[in-house]
This record gives sequence, C-alpha cells and structure tokens, in this order.
Amino acid sequence: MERRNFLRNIFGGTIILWVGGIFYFLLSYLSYARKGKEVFPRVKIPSREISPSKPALIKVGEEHVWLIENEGEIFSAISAVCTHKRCILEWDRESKRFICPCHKGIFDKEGNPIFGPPSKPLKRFNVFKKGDEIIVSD
Amino acid sequence: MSPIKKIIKWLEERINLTEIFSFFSAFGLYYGEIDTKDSIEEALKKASIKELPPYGKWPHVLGILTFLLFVFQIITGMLLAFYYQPTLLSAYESTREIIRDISFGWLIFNIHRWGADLLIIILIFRIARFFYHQVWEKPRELFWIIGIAILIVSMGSFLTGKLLPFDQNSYWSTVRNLEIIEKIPLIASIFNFLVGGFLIEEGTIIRFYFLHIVVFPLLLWILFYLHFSTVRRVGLSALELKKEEKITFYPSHLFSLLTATFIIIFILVTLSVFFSFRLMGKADPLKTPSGTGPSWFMLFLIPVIEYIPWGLGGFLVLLLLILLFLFPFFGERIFRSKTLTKVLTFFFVFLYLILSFWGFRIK
Amino acid sequence: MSLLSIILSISLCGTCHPDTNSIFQKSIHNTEGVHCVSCHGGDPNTLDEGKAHSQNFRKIPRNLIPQHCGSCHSNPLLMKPYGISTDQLSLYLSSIHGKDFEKSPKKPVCTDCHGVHEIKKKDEPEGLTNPFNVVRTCGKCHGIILQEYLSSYHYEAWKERKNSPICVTCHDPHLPLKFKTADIDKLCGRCHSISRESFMDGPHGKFFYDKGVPSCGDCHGYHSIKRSRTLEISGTCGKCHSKDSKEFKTAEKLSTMLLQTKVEIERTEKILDDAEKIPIAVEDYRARIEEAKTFLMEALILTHSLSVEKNEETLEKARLISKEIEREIHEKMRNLKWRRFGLFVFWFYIFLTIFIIMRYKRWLIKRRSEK
Repeated sequence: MERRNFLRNIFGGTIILWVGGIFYFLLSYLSYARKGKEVFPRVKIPSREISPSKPALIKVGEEHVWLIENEGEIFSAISAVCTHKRCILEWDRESKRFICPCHKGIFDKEGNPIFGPPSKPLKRFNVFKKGDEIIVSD
Repeated sequence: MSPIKKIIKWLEERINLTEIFSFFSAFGLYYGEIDTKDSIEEALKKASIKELPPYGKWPHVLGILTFLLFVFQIITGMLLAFYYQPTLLSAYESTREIIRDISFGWLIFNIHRWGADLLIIILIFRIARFFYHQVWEKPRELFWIIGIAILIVSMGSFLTGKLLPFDQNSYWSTVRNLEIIEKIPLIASIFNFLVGGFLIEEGTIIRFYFLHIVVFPLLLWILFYLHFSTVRRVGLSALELKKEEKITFYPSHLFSLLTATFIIIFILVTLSVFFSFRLMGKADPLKTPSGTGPSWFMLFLIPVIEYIPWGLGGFLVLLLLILLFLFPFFGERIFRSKTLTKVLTFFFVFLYLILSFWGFRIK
Repeated sequence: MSLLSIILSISLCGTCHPDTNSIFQKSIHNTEGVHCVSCHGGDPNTLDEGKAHSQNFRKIPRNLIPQHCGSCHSNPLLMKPYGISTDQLSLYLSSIHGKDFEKSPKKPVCTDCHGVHEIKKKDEPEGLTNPFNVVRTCGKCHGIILQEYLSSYHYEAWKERKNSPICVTCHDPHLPLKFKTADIDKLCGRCHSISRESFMDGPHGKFFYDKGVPSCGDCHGYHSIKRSRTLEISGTCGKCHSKDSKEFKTAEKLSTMLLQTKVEIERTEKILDDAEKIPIAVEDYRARIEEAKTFLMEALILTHSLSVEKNEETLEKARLISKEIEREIHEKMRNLKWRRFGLFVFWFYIFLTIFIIMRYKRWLIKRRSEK
C-alpha cells in the first residue's frame, strides 16, 4: 500500500512539475512586451506652432496628448484619450472643452469630466518652456 | 462518490461523453473502435483492457512518432504565430525578434524547424518500410494512399513554411524550389493557382502563410483522421513478430505514448540547443548568396529534370507520383515475391540517395 | 578670310611647327576658330619663312600677355555668346597676382595657369583649370601651401569625391585674396554654417567680433585642416589660455566629454562586431549606433559655443543609446551562455521522468496481472 501511494505520488508530482514548467514557459514566452525605446519620452515643439487658435495633438511616447496655449502663453498638455472608452477627444475652441465623439462625454480645460459617461479626470503632462521651444514630458 | 465521479455523472446525463472520447481517440490516442452507446465508464474500461500488438516496438513506432511530431509542429507553430508578421516589410524583423529577443523564442523556432526536418525524414522512412513489408496489400490500399498523401502534403507544408522567415537562405531556396516545381506539369498548374505565380512578391508571402497555417494543417488533420480510421477498421499489419506479446491500452500503451512524447521533447530540445538555426540577413532579391539550393528532399529531382531532354523529366516525375498513388491497384500483380520487394526497397532507397547526392553536387 | 584659306592657314603654320600644331589642335581655341594668326599675326598661306613671318607677326612678350588675352576676353561682345565672364583682366590687375606684374618676374600671367597652346575647357579632364588639376596648377608656385593642403582633411574628402573645397573654392582665381581674419568665419561659414552659428553664440564669438581672434584658422589651421586636431587642446586652446585658467579647464572638460563619448561608441561597435560573430543578428542595433554617432557629430559642432551644458545634453543622448545597446547585447550573450547549462539540467530531469514513468508502468502492469 505504501509503495503504491509513493510511486503514484512521485509520478503525479512529476506530471504536475512538467505542467507547471510548461505554464511558466508559456507565460514568459507570450508576455513579451516590446520595451519602450524611450525611457522618459519627451517631445519638443517650437512655440510658434502653437497658438490659442491652433492647438496641437501630439504623441508623447505611446500616448496622445493635446497641447494647448491658454491666454498669456501658458501651455497645458492634457491626455487626449477619453477615460470612458479610450476614444480620442476633440478640442472645442469656443467653449474651451474637450468633447468625446463616441458618447458625447465632456471634459473642461483642466481635464475634469463635467458631463456624460466619463468619471475619471484626464492625465496631465509636464510642460516647460525652454527658449522658444515647448517640451512636454511624462 | 468522489467529486470527479459526481461531475462525470452530471455530464453524462447531458452529453454523450463516450462520443467525445471517441472523437479524441480518433486522433491516435486509441486504436480500436469505440461503441458510443456505452457509458463513458464502460467505454474506458473496455479501452483499457483492449489488447493491441506492441506498437511501441519497431516498426509501428514510426506512425506514432509521425503523429506526435505533427502535434508538436502544430503547438510550436501556434506559438510562433503569436509574433510572426507575414508582410514583406516585417517578416524578417518579426522572425529576428522571435529568435533573438523573446524569451524561449529561439527554442520554439528551432523545435519547429527541426521538427519539420524530422517529420519529413520519418515520413520517407515510413514509405520505404511500407514497401518493404508490402503494406499495400488488400485490405490496406487506403492506408498506403493516405500515407503517400500525408507525405506530399507535409512536403508542401515544409516548402511553404520555408519562405516565412524571409532571410537570404529562405528566399533563395524557395526560388530554387519553385523553379523545380515549375517543371512538373500538373503540380505546377495546381501550385500556380494556389500561390499565384512563381515570382516571390508581397502577395506570395501572405498566400504561403495562409497555406502553411490553415490549408495544409487542416488537410493533414483530415488525412491523419482517415489514416487512423482505416487502421481501426482493418487493424495494424501483423508482422512476423519475434514475441507474440500483446499489451493492453492502459497502462502499457498510454505510458509508452507518454515516454515517446518525452523522448521526442528530448531530441528536439537537444537539437535546438546544439544546432541552432542562424538567420542569414534579410532577403535581398538582388543578391544571391553562394551555396544555397533547394530543400534537401527535393535535391533528387534536380538530375531527373536537368538531364532528361525535351522537358520529359517533369513528365517522368509526374508519372512517378501518379504511380505511387495508384500503386496498390497494380502492385499486387507485379510484386508477389517478398524477396523481390525487399531487394527493390533497398534499390529505391539507394537510388534516392544517389540522385540526392548528384543533385547536391550540381545544385 | 575664306574657309579654304582658314583651313590652309592651319596646316601651313603646322608644316614648320608640327609639335606646337599638334598640341594646339586639341585646344578649345582651335575648336572655336581662334587660330595661330589671331594671336601671332603673320601670313598663314605661305611656306616661305620670310613671308610667313611678316605682316605684324609677333611672339608675344610676357609683359604683354594679360593685355593680349584681355583683348578678346575682356570684350563682352565677343564673350557673351560663350557665356564667359569678362572681368578677369580687371580683377587680375587689382589682385596681388597682377599688381605691378611687369616689374616682378615671379608673378603669374594668364599663360602660367591656363597654358599657352594647350588651353582646354574647365570640364575637360586634362584642362589645367579643371577642378581636379587646379590644386597642382596653383601648387606650381605655392609649393608649401600645396603640401599643407595635400595633408589636410579637405583634400582627403576631395579625393573621395565628397563636397570639399579646393584652392579656387575659397580664393577667386583672378582676385585671390589673402583674407582678412575678420572675414574668415564668413568664408568657412559658407559650408560650416552651424559651426559658425554656435561659434558666434559662445564667448569666442563675441571676442572674435571685437578683437578678430580667435578665427577659424587660429585653431583649425588654414590649409592643413585635420580632423580632431582641435581636441589636442594644449596646442590650440593653450595658445591663448594658460593651463590653470578657468577657460582651459572648460576646454579640458569639453574635450574629455567628447573623447569619452567617442570611446564609448567605439566600444559598443566592437561589442556589436563580437555579437555578429556568434552569430546574433545586429542590423537594427547598427542603425541605432549610427544615431548615436550623429548625436556625437552634433555635439562636436556645438562645441564651438563652448557650453558644457549644451554638449552634455547632446552627448547624454549618444551615451544613452550606447549604454542601452550594450546592456541588451550583453543580456543576449548571457542568455546564450546559460543555454547549455539549462540543457543539461533539462536532460537530467527528462531522464528522471522517463525512468519514473517506466517504473510506474511496470508496477501497474504487475499489479494488474496479480489481480
């Protein structure tokens, strides 16, 4: 009886180890993520290209960002991805709000949701001016 | 009642488990016929005590090996498909990523590559031994025909897969392979239709890819199923066995299968580590590297096609192929004597090797 | 003159002067219908020496050559159809080559550079004014400068058919200025515009604007410009700044930074070469190291502004790329080494498994046959 359980347990254990090994192996194979080439993504734009009437939709690393000039040369960089279902937001110049074309969600110019399905605010990016360039970074 | 038994009872009231078991076993797990009217417990019990000739022994082991290798190819192929991109622009880069950057990617790629080579070798071996043991005699004609079909479709799979990494070696050996196939009359037209011409361009890769991961594997699954089906009906050929040793399905056969699986894993992994395949740089249609030629099992066709004048070489090959397929229907009349077949087997194998070496020299 | 006599006139002069004639046949003057008589006078239709050398026949003396050539080449009505400019004589006469040339036998006249009877167009390979031959033509008199130029990087690049200056690129051939140092930066800046911009941005630029030093040539040389010579700072920066001055320390810092980055990039390239031998495919890494080299080149040019921060910013990018590549390649080479070891562990485990399976199977069969 003891022999039977021992051998069967060893056999079972071996099979379980193999199955576990294959799981680990599959996991590490399938979860390869293309490492982002830029460790700290940042984007430089000449400031003459941004004006209150002409904001820019740029990409910082892999993320889409709206770069807007407010009155008085104050720039803000806010994520352009709606926190509801990831659609790209549009900027309404007159009312100074972000509007999502998918479900008509609205964010104010700081990125706070004020109407519609979205409940989480938009991510803000760091902006600083250097000479006549604007640098946006994560 | 143990929890497993409870689950099985619950399932059996709702679905015919024996039918599902017979479906799975149709692909080689079990070589007998299963009566789907039995309950699963009875079916399993009958299966476990069913007596079989010792398959683990030579020469039937070739069949099991083929199927196991095929399963390995399917599994590694699926894993590769997660990362491979079949476009002109990124085929090479995605393959390089698999081999160089992804953890264990090199292992999967090499297993797939070596598995393909081994599969073709074993299939050729099988045909030779079918001939040797006269396995085309009634009632095994279908067995033979399906065996030849499996070999041809596997070769097609190999050739279409060869192009996919799109490095210098793949590209140019595919060009040479296509050049040979172009000269065989009927096959060339079928190929032309399937692949869309004999030039390698953007559309070619996608078609090759589709053939390689959908069409040929599906065909092979069907052929394997038919192959097993005919064995289930006629039984395996009884050879002059040294010991009339019958074994039961459980535990002997099942565990032999398990052992065989591990041995195959061992061989494939060892080959992958010691004889890794190297990428030879991105395919450059303007620059042919020296030393490339067609795939090794196509080499024997080169002398036949080159040295028989007036394009008759291609016709000869086609004739040979048709004869191979229809062999059981006239073979019995010609090859009655057993010693003749045995001698002829060696002669054909020898001829194949000589032609291959000749092809290698003049490639 | 009739066509016949024109034809006859060539052949008749050439009867007594065959060597000169054969040279002259290949020249552009001959092609365009300017023959022996046009310059030398005389009668081309006779073989009699006395008659041939009559009729205001002349051998043109050296001091009259510029006027003589200028009689056609300064005439716009004659030169217009050919599109040749007509300012050469006036430029020449106000240049250092031409001023009071009668008095100094060393000064060149037209024929010294263009040839006498063998004058060819600029684009013909044997023409003395062909850009590929100009260097030797000027070098006939300016031997020392020729040697300096031949040892320079400008000449090396010129040989490789790159866009590089020769004598006449900087010095107009008919008015070859010895440039005032205050104008040199504009001259060099014609091609090296970003270097000039950085230079003018930095402290040297302001100093140069006021005082005229340091000019491009003060550090790089004028004709013997070599790559990276300026990195030997004691020879260049040390000429004006003493070794323990703040400026010299900045120079040291800058040159160390640049050399360090260069060494790092070379080291990464060597690692790529090693990796390629294994073999690991490295084409994409090579493209990235080219990016790093571009950043280094940018930094080298930015050095003219003498700002350590600006250089640091650019060099940091180059170094980041280099480090990243090295890290990734080392990781891959490490993984390769582990493969064999992993394989042996794997073997052990497989054999163990097979052994266990076989024992279990045997035991099951025994148990079954016992039942």
